[in-house]
Amino acid sequence: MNLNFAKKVFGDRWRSTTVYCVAMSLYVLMLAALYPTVSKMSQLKTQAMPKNMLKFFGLQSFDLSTFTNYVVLQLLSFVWIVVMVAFVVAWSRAALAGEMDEGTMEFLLSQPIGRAPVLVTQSLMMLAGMMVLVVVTMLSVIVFGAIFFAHKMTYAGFAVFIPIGIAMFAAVAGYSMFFSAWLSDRKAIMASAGLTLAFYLLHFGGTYSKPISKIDIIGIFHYYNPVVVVTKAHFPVWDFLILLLFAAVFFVAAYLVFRRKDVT
Amino acid sequence: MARDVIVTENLTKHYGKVVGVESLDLRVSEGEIFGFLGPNGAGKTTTMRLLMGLLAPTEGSASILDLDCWKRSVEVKRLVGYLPGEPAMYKRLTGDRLIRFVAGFGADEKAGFDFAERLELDIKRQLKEYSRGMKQKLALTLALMRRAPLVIMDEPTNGLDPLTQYVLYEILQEQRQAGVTILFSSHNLHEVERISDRVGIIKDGRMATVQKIEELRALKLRNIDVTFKDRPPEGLDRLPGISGFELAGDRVQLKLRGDINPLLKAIAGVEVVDLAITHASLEDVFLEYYSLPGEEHGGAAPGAGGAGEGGPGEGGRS
Repeated sequence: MNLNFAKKVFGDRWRSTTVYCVAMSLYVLMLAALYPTVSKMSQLKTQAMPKNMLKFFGLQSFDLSTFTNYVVLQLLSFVWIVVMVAFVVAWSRAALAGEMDEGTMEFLLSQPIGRAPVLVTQSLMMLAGMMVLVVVTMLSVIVFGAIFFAHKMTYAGFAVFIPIGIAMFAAVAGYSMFFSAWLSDRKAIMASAGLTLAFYLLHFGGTYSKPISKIDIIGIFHYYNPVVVVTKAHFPVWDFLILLLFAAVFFVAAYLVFRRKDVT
Repeated sequence: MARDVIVTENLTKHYGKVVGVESLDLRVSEGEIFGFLGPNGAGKTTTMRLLMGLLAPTEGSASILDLDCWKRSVEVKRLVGYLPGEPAMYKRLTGDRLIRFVAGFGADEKAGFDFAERLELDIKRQLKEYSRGMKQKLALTLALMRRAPLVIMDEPTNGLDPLTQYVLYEILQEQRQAGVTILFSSHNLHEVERISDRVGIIKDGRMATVQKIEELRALKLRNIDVTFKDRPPEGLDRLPGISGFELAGDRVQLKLRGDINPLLKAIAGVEVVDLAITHASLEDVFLEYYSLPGEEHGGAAPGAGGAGEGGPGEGGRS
């Protein structure tokens, strides 16, 4: 890691990271504000959902009678995924493919800095920003939950969820960085977002089809189950390790591509 | 004898089926200013990027002060101040922030501010507010502030006004006096003649020739346009070094290679309404160079002694 370059990356990114954090906190606040109204209709809602849809969200024996459950369904199972993927994909795109397309990579690599430190610095800064966003989101849930629904809140599950959320989006960061090292600017975004969507659809399809559910194990969403983690405060060690391994493999692949990449 | 700072041997770079450079052999000695001439796409920028470790060679090798440019690129870059052909820098940063950023990689911050002041650059503004010329000044500042023994510049005067060009020439002469080796590329023959010790001409990725600047001067080519009050004098088209002679009424256009005095004497007794003498474009020089009798494409230029200059392979390829 190169400290001089890290400072520059921090200078570029702290504003957008702050915006993401504030937006997520406000979204959680909005969920807390809406929850009393929503909870009155929740039973009807879950009963109206198709059985497989309930299964996809892990809702077979699940209700929205607590704010915790509501957050898991409304936030962690969909909106948060979209936001986190957008955050990670945008950062990784800018980190390599963006610098390459804008021509600033030539300027950067004409300084006495190796390609490995460039990749490591960008990756660590991105992971740090992602961790901050995960922690801020979970803290917002805990704080607003405690303020509005103290008597119905369980906190342990959200604390346990933090490392799982980090591992999950480290995996997304890994392949996004790989595509950023390999492809041009737009293609990198499309490949990263497309693969994430493919994994999501694979997981979704797996709830309807047994053959698809068997190949779902190659996708990251197979190892991401916020319902179990948060409601049972259960830490899935293997899922956590597999996600980290997934991330590590793609970060190494990104380096192998980037070290031979022509900077033009 | 001065040691070689830059050495390339059989340096080759292909982009798929497209040839960037082909079997390029080049030696640049310590303390000299080496001008790299060639039209767009000839391979100048590719060569410089290979030297900076930005491109991996397809074949062959390039080294700077005995360090392999690809395998030991970080060490090499500590020894080189580099000006890219299309300087793209971080638009949101101000000039002074960028100088500090480069200083964070071991360059001399004070030198950076001094060069910026000398080039009359406003470093308090963000780069997105910079004109093309200001960006070029900043890129020059960032290249020079490394205080490196070698400076590589890809078209250094691009976008600069004449006054700033003059300041840059002064700076380059000072650098040379301080023992700095300079490799730069240009389309501008006049500029290359003005500041270089030796010139390499690259065409289609191959080094056509390397000549000392005095030898290039012998090849000097001018475009001349004379309008006479009455008829032009007889025999102009038969003067030595004349080519491309065109007569239209009272106006004569021609190309002149070599000594201009015979022409001036020939027109001295005739009343001239207008006279324009311009240095030939690089394209003209190339056309002249390759059309010389007895020379194959890529062969050595007349009187150049290019084949024997400086190192292996510099005499060009056939």
